[in-house]
Amino acid sequence: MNREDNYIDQLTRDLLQSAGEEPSAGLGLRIMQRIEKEAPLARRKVVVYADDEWKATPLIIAGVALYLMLAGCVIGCLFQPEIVDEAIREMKENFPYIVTACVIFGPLTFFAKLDRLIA
Amino acid sequence: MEEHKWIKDVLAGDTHSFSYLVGKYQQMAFSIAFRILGNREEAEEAVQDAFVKMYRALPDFRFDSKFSTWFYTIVYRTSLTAYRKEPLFTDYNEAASAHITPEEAGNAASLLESNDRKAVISNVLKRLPPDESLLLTLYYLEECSVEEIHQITQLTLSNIKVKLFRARKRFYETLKHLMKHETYAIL
Repeated sequence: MNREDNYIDQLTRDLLQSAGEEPSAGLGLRIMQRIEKEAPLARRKVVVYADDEWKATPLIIAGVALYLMLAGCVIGCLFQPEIVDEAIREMKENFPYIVTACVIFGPLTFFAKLDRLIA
Repeated sequence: MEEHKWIKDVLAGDTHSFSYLVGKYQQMAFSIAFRILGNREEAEEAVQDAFVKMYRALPDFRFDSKFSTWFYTIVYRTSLTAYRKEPLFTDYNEAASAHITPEEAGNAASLLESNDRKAVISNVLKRLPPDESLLLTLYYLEECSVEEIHQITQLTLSNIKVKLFRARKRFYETLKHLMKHETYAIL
């Protein structure tokens, strides 16, 4: 907008600022009377969720950690199979606990997310 | 924002808080309705309807948007329904003829100094086509941005700009014309 336009714009604004139409004095009252006849608004259940959105930094850290673990597993399998065998054997003992935890937390996370999505 | 608190109170069942919204927005709502309908009684009826519609729709209001724009859209649509005439906005093809110089605008405005400014400006706005009068009110009185006017009226941004230029030119032409007639009448 050039200087001329700015001048006309400001002049128009100044002129129109005084031109607001005034409704009759009883309009507000009449509106409120009609509102009071309305059914009360259905109360909405306010659900507040903690902000659990994944931010970029933790996502990158988790990704790097996952790749390091995978690399460790691959290197272990290739160069020290006996240690890997030992680790798997030890894990076997804890396998029921791991499966139980996965069975509980997996669906829990999934359905919690689904619930939020539907809400 | 304070109005967000009032809205939350109304949503929580406190109807009394609605009166704050009425107090704050009834004048501008009336100005919009009056510009479209050109009749005080019909405009007040449309404003009442708009407030009731807004009350019913309040649970759907998204707090990340501007309340005034959302409400003025309701007022605009309610007034259009009451208007029931030919389409409010007509198409303009040429934008060049909407040009006005600062001298023309200044001369027209200077004629106002010895008169009742508010009454004269209201009279000028009444003589403009309703669409132009409405755009001037939204842009210069309520200080809505072009984007907000687009949300309210659904006109394209370029169309709004062209219509605003034209409305402004017609406003000064009408003002000048009216003031000349008043001067002749006094003489």
